[in-house]
Amino acid sequence: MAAEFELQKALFLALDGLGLTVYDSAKQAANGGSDAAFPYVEVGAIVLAEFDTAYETGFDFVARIHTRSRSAAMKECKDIQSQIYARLHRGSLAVTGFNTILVQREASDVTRVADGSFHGVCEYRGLIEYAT
Amino acid sequence: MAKAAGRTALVKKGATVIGGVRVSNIQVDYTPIDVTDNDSTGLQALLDDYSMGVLSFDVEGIEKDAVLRNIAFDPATSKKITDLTFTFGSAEVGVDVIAGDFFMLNYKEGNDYKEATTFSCSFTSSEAWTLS
Repeated sequence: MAAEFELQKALFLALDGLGLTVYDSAKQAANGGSDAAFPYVEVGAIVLAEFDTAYETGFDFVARIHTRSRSAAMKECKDIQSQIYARLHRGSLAVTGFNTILVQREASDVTRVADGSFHGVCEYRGLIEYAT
Repeated sequence: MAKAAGRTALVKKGATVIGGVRVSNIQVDYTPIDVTDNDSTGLQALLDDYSMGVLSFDVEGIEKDAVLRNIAFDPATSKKITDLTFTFGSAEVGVDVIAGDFFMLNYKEGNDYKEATTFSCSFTSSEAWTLS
């Protein structure tokens, strides 16, 4: 099993379980804007680095979770980020074929986009090893 | 003889490979018998034999299966281990396994709140060892 896909799936299922609208990459409208129903969350880039030992292999990953909101204020975006934090930070993440050693949020930010919407980015770092 | 990756060196207790190892080191030290005297013309003179030979090795990595931890922290368990072996990564067929009785000199675990638990452990020989 590919760690990239299994991690993406695990994160997707964890966030979907919160009742959030979750995309891999949100669909775009013909004019280049987002065609997704706001608010929503994207399981964005996942960067994998080596976390091997002499006899086992695993990954040190950073997953970037994007939150998009068209609310009048940042609160909606931040509330969603809080929900995700409560679910993932030091929480469990069932990654098929792997043992999850830890998951924790490293950073969180919200910025205003040119179209007036809000874009939140949270980075979650984790360690997984292949289950033997 | 071909070069070998460090990860191919194995430390086992019985048939079980010690899990989580990232680094292993092995060394042997011999103490010579110094017979230097006035007839040595100012140069050190040593006997062919040695007075003491000590083989030691250590391992460190990510704590995984508690095999060494259980020996280390149970005061009732002997620290002299009779079924440890060290297999060289640069294996020459038939001459690559060190075996003998080894005393656990120390064991240490590190618990960084943002990382996996690490360990290190070192051993020293008791009486003769074999290379086979």
